[in-house]
Amino acid sequence: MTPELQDEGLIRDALRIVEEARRRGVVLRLMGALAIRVHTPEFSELYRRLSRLGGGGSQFTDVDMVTYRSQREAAHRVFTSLGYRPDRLVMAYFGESRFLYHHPQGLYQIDLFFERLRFSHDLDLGPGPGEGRLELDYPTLTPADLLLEKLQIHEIDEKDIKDLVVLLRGHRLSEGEEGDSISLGRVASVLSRDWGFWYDAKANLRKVLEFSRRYREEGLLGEEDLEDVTSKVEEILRYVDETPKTREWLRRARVGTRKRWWREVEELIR
Amino acid sequence: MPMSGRKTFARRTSGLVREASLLDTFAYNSSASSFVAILWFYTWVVTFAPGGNILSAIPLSLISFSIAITYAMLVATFPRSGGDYVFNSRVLHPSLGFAFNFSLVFWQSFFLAFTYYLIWLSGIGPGLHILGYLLHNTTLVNLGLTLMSPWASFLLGTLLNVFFTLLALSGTKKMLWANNVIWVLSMLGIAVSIGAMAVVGHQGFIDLFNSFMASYGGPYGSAPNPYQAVIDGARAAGYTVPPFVFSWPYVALSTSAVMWTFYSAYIAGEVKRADSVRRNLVSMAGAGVFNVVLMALFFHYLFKTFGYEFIASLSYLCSYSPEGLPWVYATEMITAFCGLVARSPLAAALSVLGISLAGTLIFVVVLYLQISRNLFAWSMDRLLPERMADVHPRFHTPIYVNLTVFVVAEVFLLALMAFPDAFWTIYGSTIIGPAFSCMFLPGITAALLPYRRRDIYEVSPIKREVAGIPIITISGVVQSAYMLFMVYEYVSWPQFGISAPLPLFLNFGMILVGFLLYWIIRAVRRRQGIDIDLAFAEIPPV
Repeated sequence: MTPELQDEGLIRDALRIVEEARRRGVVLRLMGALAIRVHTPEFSELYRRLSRLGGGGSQFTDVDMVTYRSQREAAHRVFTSLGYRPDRLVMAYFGESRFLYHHPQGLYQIDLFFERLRFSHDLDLGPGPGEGRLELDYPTLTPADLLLEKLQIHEIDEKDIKDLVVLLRGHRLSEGEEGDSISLGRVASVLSRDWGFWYDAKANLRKVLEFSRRYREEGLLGEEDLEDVTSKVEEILRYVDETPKTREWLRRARVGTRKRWWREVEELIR
Repeated sequence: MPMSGRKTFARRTSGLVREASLLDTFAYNSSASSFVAILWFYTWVVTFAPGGNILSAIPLSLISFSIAITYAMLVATFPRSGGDYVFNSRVLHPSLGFAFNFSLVFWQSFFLAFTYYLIWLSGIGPGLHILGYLLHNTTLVNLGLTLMSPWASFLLGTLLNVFFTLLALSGTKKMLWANNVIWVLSMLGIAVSIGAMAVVGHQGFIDLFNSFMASYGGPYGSAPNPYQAVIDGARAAGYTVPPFVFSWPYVALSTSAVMWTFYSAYIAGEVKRADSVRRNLVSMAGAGVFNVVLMALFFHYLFKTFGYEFIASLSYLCSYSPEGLPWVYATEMITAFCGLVARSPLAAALSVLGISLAGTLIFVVVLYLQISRNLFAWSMDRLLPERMADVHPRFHTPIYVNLTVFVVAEVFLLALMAFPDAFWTIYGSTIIGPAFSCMFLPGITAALLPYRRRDIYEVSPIKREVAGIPIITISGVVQSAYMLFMVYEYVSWPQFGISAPLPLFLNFGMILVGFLLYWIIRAVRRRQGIDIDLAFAEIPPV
């Protein structure tokens, strides 16, 4: 099976799970790189050209999903009924923040998170079914939340930057939550409350600019791609800068980088 | 994960935030080795040891830092939850890993129940008694006396068992939070006690004690000087206070303030950067330093304020001739005196609460998590029914494991209530058993790791040598040798009650039971078509 077919197979499986969950009344959404791929089908060729994992192999190895904590039991039943095996070690030790499921033949694994994402920084996706952000889009998170999920990474690596390039290239910007656009209001709202998140997000956006210019030189991005991504990054930076900051943000800004501003994130297996 | 030591796991799981920070594990490890339990033990050991100066024993007990150092290195190499069970079973042999861990789990289950029981008997009970006296409140006095009874301790102990089981079901984060709260309150209480002892001074304590006993009444209370009457009473009962000099049993005893500070090893998979030797040393050896300093300060003021001769005499009377005294067990008097010297009701409450917690509940979270992580690990390795490792999605914890911990603790609580004297004897004579279970063999494992598992050693963060000998080998040898010394001390002093056949079996026989159990389970699994050797060919991923 070619890498492209493997990727398509993974996407198909992921969408099947989300659809089955929807059928059972469970709000389940894709996030991460696979979600970006699903949300930017017209730029799948760009994704392939950028080759996020390098080499000629599959570009996606695992799946990240999110549901509401109150629905975690129901979501668990969705996965197990479809033959996915829960990882008991991960559930026992880290079940507060995630569950992990293995494909029946061990081809890939699925991380299931809950609405309050805790990584280098926090991203809150809402209180619960009917009131949260998971219902704003389907079958993935909204583009703004997909962007924030990547921007919160403190030690961002190149594959995440490539994900951001494709996400930005594939969506226009808007103030509010409008169809297939990245909501500047949502992005600025989150970053104007959390100084540490803001600091890392800005640094990551600047890295996107830097790497985009390099990709242009390497011929991975066209001139139009570079201009588009650059203008969007600059617009996001400007919008965020102009958004008034909360008192908590200002208080934290006074301390700045003298105190650690991100949460340590490790790999599951050390 | 294969045993090559290299990360062959190609797929990465999205970033993981581990719950236990450096501060959490520092408090966790300090809790595991709280010196207040030694304080209580001191009141018993002083009745037979030839010298009572525990402070002079501290320097030698510092050799036990080798345990924390060795564990720091082992955990950095195997940053997995399960502690000694993981290292020993994967480096030496599964039968040895299970045998020693089985013994530890058995005895720590007993101690878990004991802490639920003891807090009322030796902590809150005498504490309320003193508070009642300070506030002239007979209700509190009577409540305190009531709590110092087996049935009350059982009932309230059961409530604690329910509470901590429910807490465990809600996840590690809440357990760590609870441990931090208990630790802070304990340290606050200890600090208040030390401060109060320092301020009150010797004569001040004599005056307070005499007033207290006068209000209590009885033969000592009606004496012109109850403080002196206690000393005279012990002499009349045939007790000779040992000279205030060095004594070998106290080396073993004071070691207990240090030797358990590796307990975060049992939750290492959930500890931030547990693969860092430096961080492990800070949280393990650092906690040991903290505990030793605190213990030294406390005992210094204990002797200075209460008086060594008085403490020893009162301990003897409580154990052998308690008529006329408010305390059934000598352990109760320390809590009471810490409340007494605090004088103000608020300071007394803080002091009494802190000392009570520091001698009992401070161990609960660390014991609970160690027992549950080991039971879970056994089940994952198919040594227990697989069902035990089932994780309920609502609680996201292994529910059957937690229920097992609850039930076993409850059975021990019942037994404590029904046979309190027998279990005090068992408790006293099983001091060394659990320690030996989790400290002797890991020393051997550490010493042999560079030779038996060269592949793991080569890529580990502990690859350092002195004169061509791996540091972990040196540290492991010192650790195991020190444990043999500890065993010798406890076995060679008849008063510890270990040298008879039954206590010897209780201390070390559970290892044999575990060893036999392993081979039986292995054979049973084989007949079921399950080869458990396969599980031990791999290191658990977390």
